[in-house]
Amino acid sequence: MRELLKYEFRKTRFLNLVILIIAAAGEGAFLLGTILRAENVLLTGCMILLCSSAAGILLAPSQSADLLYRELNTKQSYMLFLTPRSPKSILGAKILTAIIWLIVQGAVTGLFACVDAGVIYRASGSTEGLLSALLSSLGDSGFSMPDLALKAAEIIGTAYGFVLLVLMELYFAEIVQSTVLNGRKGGGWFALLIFIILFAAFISLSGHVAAAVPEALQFAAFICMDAACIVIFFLLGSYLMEKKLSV
Amino acid sequence: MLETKNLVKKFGSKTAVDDISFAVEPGKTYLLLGPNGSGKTTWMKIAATLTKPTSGDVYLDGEPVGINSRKKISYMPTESYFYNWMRVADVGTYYRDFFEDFDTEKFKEMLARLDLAPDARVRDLSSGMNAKLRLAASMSRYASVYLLDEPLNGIDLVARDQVLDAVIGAMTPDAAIVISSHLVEEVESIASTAVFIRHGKILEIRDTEDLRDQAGLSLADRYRQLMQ
Repeated sequence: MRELLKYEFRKTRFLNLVILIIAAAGEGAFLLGTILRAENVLLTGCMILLCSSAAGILLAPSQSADLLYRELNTKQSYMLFLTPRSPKSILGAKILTAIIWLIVQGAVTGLFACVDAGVIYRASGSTEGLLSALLSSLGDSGFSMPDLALKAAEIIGTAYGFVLLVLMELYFAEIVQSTVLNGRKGGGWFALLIFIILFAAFISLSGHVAAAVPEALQFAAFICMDAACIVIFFLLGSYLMEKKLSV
Repeated sequence: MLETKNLVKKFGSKTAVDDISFAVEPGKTYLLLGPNGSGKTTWMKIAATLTKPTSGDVYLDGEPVGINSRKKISYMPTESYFYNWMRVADVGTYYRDFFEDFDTEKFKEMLARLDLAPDARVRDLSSGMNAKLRLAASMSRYASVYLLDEPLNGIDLVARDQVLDAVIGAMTPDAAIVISSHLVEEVESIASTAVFIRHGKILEIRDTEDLRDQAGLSLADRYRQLMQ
């Protein structure tokens, strides 16, 4: 597994590093704009940070899915399937790499957010300025600080769970395309169709869960549902690769 | 050692391998001889576990080939398959990371012998140089079975001798080498057994020495007789 992870990181590092470098540039612009009180630079920095955060959570998993597609459908597949590694390890390394990159992207975004908050706090010139403004707006909206932290954790957790599930659905659709539909004309379109069906089924299931589960438990219910679906697609995908895959 | 039993592989209505059975023994060099599309590559890919058979099976030391057999079977595909970002030396590192039987020193020696620069980018290699790299990576393992699919394809006349020398250098009493080729004359000198294959069926399996001594035929002569 360690070797597989090493090469998965090698294969995916370029795009992820580019996104991180762009985020760092955005952060630099934001800080410069704040210190120099240059609104245009500050706004540009904000936009770059927002875009790089979105790219981190969307582009990196897309690249991972594209990589698996190429590795299942080109001769590069031999690099993986000539090695004495099981399909579970191969798929596991891919999903683990995607998770780690998501965590890294999220951690960097979080770090930048903390730095930005600190800089704004210092630039505001008083200890109470930012905090009191924040707390008063929270008070107005009926939220307390712990509520806000919990809500942020829920939103981030739900978003990550959703992204990982979509990635696993993409993996699974690609595996079905290259195993069950191997070599058939229009296999790629069938893979897309499978993905759309799976995605629609998940959205429908989410709706049922939201209706059936009390609001206080919905976050836990969604995380459990995501995890269960990810495990099911992972096991089914590994099974198909082991029993049906011809590269 | 490597035993094929009633192996069938169909692609839609086309039968690529049609009920093949034969055994590969250690210490021997086999030549799979047949025209393009005769099923040589398909058999090798099944033995290397890259392709699933329609029916039948291939066994290594009594066990069906699978993830574990990849530790003992070294397969050299006929097409390039390395990652584009790799340099020649990275291929050695990759093989070292995944195959316990890979010998990095042997790989370096083979690179030198085959005139391959370790820092050359894989994507910049010509097809002949890429074939040499595939051969160097495959033959730098101490495998039980080497499957070499058209190892002379795209390789110039002078370099062919280097390739064949590398193959001869890998011969040991414990290992079997299977070479698929349609360049019969080029590989005749290193073969101990010839397997003639056409339309997915084995036409004949002959000891090359017997063929020469008893029938007075070269492999090329016999190939022409069988394939015409």
